[in-house]
Amino acid sequence: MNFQTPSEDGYGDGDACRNLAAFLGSNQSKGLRPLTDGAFGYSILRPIMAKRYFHDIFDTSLQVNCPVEGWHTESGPGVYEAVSWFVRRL
Amino acid sequence: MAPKEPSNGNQYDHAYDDLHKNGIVNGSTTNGVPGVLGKNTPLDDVKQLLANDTKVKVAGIDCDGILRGKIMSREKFLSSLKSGFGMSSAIFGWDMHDLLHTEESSLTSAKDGYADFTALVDLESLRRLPFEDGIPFFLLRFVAAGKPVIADGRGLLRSLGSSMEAAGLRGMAGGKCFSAHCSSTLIEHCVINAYLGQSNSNL
Repeated sequence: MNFQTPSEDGYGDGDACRNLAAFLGSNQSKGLRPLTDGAFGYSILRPIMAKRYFHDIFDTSLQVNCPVEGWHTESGPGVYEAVSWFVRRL
Repeated sequence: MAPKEPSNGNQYDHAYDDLHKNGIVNGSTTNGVPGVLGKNTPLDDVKQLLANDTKVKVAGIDCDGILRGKIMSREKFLSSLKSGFGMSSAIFGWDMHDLLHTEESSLTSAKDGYADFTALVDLESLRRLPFEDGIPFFLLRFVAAGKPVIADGRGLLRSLGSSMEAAGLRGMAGGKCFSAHCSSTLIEHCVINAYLGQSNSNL
């Protein structure tokens, strides 16, 4: 699941420090705002709304030598699938 | 799921053939990507076109005519050029809200677990997406058990084109696009701005 991080008191107070754990302490998880809307697997457009975020995850996976080879939305708001490299077992 | 080995290997050499036949490799440019001349193997040529990329975007057209795709690592992409890669046939078994069709077609089914189709890359479709930092983008077509998926629009056009070519004709196609435009909500602007790196005090 990928969503905007709220402040402790929610999205209304934009200047407050973001604190996901504190937000979930007093709100249900459905109060979170997903980064991609609706159920649309393999969307090529919706992730562009938050492209820096989604590309950062992919790029970082390469940098830390834990490479993702496939990266796409699954059928749910903010839901993603990451496929790791298929390699010979250790 | 890994793509199955094709029963007839030759038909999967399409990507290499297309690459040369349509002048992608020996042509001048493809959307600003310099063409590559020389006696390299086709795989070397594609590698050279993507030399400065770590990822590509690919998409095929589902049964409603909507692009469905993903981002792939360059290495996975290059390793898929010869015989394609697996992609869920669910995109031919659901609607544009990913609701499974209540009446299943012969293409795919829950009973078969929406088994993977093989997605084949059309190298000639390469373009770079200016709205996504120039990522290379390729279109796909789908085959199942070695045959083109009948509901795949690109596969359909391709076989029509081949038949016409065999009859000494040349098919041409164009299109019109009608669209509705609405102003975005504040939330949407906030998200866009946040990830474009612009300051927005509402976040």
